[in-house]
Amino acid sequence: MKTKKLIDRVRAMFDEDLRNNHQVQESLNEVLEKLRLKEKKMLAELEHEHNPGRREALQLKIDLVHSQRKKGIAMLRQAQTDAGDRKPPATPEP
Amino acid sequence: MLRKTLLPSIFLLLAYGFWVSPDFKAISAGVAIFLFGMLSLEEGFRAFSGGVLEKVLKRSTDRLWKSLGFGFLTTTLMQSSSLVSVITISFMSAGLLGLTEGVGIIFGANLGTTTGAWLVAGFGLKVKLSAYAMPMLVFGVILLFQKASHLKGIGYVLVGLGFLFLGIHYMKEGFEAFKDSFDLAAYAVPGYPGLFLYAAIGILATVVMQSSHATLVLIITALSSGQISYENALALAIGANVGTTITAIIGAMSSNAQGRRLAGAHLMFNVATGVVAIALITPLVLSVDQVSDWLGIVADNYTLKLAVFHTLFNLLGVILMLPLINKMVLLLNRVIKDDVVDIDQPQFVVASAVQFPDTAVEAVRQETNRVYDHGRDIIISGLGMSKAQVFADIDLEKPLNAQNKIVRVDIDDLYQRRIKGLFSAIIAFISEAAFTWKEQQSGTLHWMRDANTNIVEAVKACKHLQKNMLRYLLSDNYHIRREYNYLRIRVALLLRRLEQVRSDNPDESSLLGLDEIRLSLLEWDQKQSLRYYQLIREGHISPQMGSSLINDSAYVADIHSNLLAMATTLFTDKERKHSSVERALSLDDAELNDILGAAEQARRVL
Repeated sequence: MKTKKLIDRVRAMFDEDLRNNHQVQESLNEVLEKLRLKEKKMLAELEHEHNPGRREALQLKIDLVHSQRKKGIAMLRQAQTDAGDRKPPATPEP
Repeated sequence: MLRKTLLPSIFLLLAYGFWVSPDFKAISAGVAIFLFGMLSLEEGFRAFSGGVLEKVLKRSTDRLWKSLGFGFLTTTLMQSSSLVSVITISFMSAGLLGLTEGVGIIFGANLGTTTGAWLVAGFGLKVKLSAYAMPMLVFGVILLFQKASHLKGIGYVLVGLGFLFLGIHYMKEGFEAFKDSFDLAAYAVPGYPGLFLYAAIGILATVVMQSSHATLVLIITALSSGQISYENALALAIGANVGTTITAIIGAMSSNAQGRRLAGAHLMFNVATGVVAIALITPLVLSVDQVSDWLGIVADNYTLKLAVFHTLFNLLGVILMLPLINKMVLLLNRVIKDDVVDIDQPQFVVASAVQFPDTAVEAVRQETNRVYDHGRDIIISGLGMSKAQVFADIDLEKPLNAQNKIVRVDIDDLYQRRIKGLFSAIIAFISEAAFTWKEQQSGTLHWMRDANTNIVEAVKACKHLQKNMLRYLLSDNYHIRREYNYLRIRVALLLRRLEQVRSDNPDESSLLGLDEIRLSLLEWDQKQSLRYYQLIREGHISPQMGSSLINDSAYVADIHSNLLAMATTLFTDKERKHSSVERALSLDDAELNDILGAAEQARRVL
């Protein structure tokens, strides 16, 4: 495993596409984590919200963030496939 | 304070004057009609600018002798140097003529006006301009109703000339009383004091009567009846020549700096000529005698000799002033400054910023922020709201519904003054900078240019929206008033939200946060159109009102989409680590519609 990581790093040093791919993956991971936390926070709010109108609006926001996360996860998987990674270190679940 | 009280004071003074003297009323109406004619004439000439008229004018004034000839010929034909100078001023205001050409025409007009003295003295003829006013107005107004722009232009010119003539006519009518009181014989004075006195009377009489021809008629009558001496008559003619500039000065009042410069040139020329004529009166009189002798004019025919004098001293003036024409133009340019129009100047996109890619990108970003500030303010005031209302954390519905007076702001004018200059400067800056740089900065500049276009488009949509909005916001129909209030509240809420995005910390202002606004806009759009149809069906609003609402809600959607696109670039791109990923994750309309569809289904299930 360690050797593979080392090889990847060496490859990335000489391959600009691969380097960019890794940057995108890192960036996606960070953004997806923020979105996950945002969704979690809104779900908690929804549990305590009893006004039907506000519940509906909040649910719509949750749906939106969820869709963004789904899109992001699909992109991350694609990036990992492009980079030849079979098992990414931490793929968030939708 | 002075500005605030000036207009009411003028109104009060005028009103008092009208009450006291009907003559004063006629004179003032004459001035007003005259000025209106000037504006109309300018409008007409503007219709021809960039076309035939420009070519004709350029060709007939491209040399000094041609300008002189043009002035001479047109004044001879129209028999009014005042009219030619006024028309020249309007040509210059419309940008069709330069100052040097204009001054040349004025010099020529001064020579041309001497033909009038010959006509008056020789044949007792005078072309009566006011007789042409009525048919000109009638034909002009008919042409104004035509669709073709050149016919409209001719219409404006005819109406303009008609009003000019009518204005002069009213001024003359009003001054009839004054004219009767000019008993010239009462002031017969010999020598130089007489010269100055009569020159002053000549100036006064011409200012009052608005026509050097009228003064000449007076002089010739007085001279032939022996009321005044020949020398005094000459001084009066000199005075009339100076006094005739008043028409050009009145004409220049409604004109720009170029027009005022020309009026200044006219005044300088005529005063200088007058001073020289008074100083050289004895040699001039001798020359008149010689020329008259040569022309076969009998020694006691003073009226024709007066015409000879008039021509000689104007010719002398032209000969003396021609070499000074360029210095005169320079002086006038220095003394009469260009009108300072309140137009916003770029602060960041300056020549020095173009040297380095990063500073250039930052300069464009800062300038674009200014464009947005102005655009936002125009939209807010254009829709009858205030910044304090929009950005206060309050419910907008109540205060906006309670509004019973809305001030209409001229969005076009504000756009010209606040945005166009900056936008043009940014475009010029980007086109100068972009092509030499690395891809990254060029790309950012490309987005920035689009952001500027988005702001401009949003302002334009607001302009279209404004017309019906201001009309229906004060309507008696509660439903249409409420719907239009909703429309502007939508715009206000977007601006409020964008301001939050702009000022919040980078985490909160991510591109993905803007998707929330897009989603709510789509949802609102769908619900809104359904409500409009319902309002029409239930007879709360007429189908005409409904179609206006549908069109105008499309303008609101335009404002939203343009400002959101702008915000995507301007508010969220600054040094952001994840901006490209966020841009990729941002949902498009189809994806947002899917979310709305799913929410609707869930609602039905419940």
